[in-house]
Amino acid sequence: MNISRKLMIIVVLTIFEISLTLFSMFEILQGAKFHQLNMLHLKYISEFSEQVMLTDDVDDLDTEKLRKTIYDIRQQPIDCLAQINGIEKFIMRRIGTYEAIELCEKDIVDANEGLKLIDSFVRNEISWQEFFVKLGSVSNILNQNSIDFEEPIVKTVEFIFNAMVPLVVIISIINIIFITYLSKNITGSINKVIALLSRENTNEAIDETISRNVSGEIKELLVVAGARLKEELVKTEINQKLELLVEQRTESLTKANDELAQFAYRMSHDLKAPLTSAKGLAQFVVQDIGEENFGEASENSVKIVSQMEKLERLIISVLALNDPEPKPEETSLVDMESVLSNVRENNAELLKENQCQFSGEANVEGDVQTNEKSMTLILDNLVSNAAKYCDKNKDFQFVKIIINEQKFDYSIRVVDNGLGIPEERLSEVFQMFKRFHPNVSFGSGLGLATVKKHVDYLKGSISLESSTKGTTFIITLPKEDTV
Amino acid sequence: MTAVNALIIDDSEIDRYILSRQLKQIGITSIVEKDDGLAGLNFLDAYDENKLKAGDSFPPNIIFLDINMPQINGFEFLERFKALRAKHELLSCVIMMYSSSERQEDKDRAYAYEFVKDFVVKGESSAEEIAAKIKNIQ
Repeated sequence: MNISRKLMIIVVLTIFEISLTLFSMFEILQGAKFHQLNMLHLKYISEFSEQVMLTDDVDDLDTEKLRKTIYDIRQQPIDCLAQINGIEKFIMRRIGTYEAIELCEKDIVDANEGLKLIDSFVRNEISWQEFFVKLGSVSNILNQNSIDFEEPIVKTVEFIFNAMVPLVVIISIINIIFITYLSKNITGSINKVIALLSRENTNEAIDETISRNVSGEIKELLVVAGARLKEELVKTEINQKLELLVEQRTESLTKANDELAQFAYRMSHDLKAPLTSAKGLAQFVVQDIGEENFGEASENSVKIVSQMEKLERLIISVLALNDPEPKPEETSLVDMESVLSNVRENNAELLKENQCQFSGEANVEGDVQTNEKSMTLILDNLVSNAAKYCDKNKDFQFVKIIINEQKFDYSIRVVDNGLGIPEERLSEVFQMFKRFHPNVSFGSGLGLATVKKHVDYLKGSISLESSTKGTTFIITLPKEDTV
Repeated sequence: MTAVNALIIDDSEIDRYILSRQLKQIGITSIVEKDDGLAGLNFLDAYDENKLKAGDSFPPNIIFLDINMPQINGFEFLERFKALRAKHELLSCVIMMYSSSERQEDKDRAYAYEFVKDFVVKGESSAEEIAAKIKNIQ
């Protein structure tokens, strides 16, 4: 049963209890009122008797005064009948005290008899003696009525008192018992819910547990509270995710901004440097020609050309770095053997110049779905780096590309036995404008940054191992994007 | 002008050549060139050996220092040079920055070291102007 229904029973019982108590009080007061009226009745009868007794002579007789006294006597039963209600009549009938009402009615009739007697005497229809005797008789009858009236009234009041008080007490006890039961019931339900919610290591979802074990308003409360809580949790989670996202974006933007500032600075520096050098050299050339020092002028002119070439390479590298990201539809089925062959051809001169042996093997089934331009550019950069920074102190120099097809991805290893990258600088390898062996060969410092960018385009990852024995770059390209 | 022993630290061979030729034009003949901050520090740190080898031409009293260098850049050099000055008799040795950078931020960072006396932007100073700057700091 719902808590509200149980509470309603308590309310009804309490209202009934209060009503009975009030009714009992009202009836007891009513009884007292009837007693009062009867006392008044006796008082007027006494006055009437006195008036009759004190009349010695017919000349002393004041019929109007007697008539008025009888009117006064008759008024009490009239008031009594007017005040008595249906419930009282019903109760009096059931407990056999209805005679009190009959006595009132009889008393009115008797009083009317008295009045008729006075009328007869006034009209001289009866003698003075007869009138006096009959008047005494009326007084006695009325007096007897008063005496008889007391008993049923007392009985009625007693009945109400005896019946209602135990009834009120019983209802009060029932009410208290019911309130105690309900209180325990509600506390029990709440404790049960607390125990259910505190239970750990349960596989059952909390919603099912509540649905199976809880009912009524508590179930409703838990369902509503649960829904609200979930809503709040979702909101909190969304807020946290948003905050995290904002934080990550801010960090990423800050990083991008820093990189851009660094890029702009290095760009201006590295573009300006060969120009400044060429300008200085050109001034010397003018000076040397003027002094007819043609040998030095010629040497410096060659240096100017090399500076211009450096500038050109740098600009080409920057442009390559800013190549737009290939779109997914720009991928095609690529023959890796053909890529390896192109890489060898593109770097032929450099490899020959540095006496670096190139070898490549592609252990893949059929063609690979990828962007050929990015793939070639990555391998070209790694091979040219291997050739440029080969270790002349070793017996022979090599660079080897091994492409293996794995279950979920392709692994590309570019292995060389070159100079290696100093361990403390390994974290900088993919940054722009980083060069680790400036005296060994030319370069813009953008090659590995470009490689990293194109590996990212292909949704792959790149790592490296390096020592003085050589360097190995390991690129992993996911199959789902390349197949 | 008192005898100048110059040390040029720059990774660009051509920039070293240009500065070196400008210095020669103004009569400075004691010039040592190093291609990185690290090589420069090693040169100064081998104090006794170089003193023995070069005599009065060592130690340098003016260092022309580039900023962007691959291994140890100009600023790292300044930091390490601060310790090296106290270790060897290099307190009279001052530094003139020699860089393509015109950024105020780089200039402020360099001038934060008391031994950095001037900042020459590459390609912007003639031999005579460099002579005037050297005279000014001596």
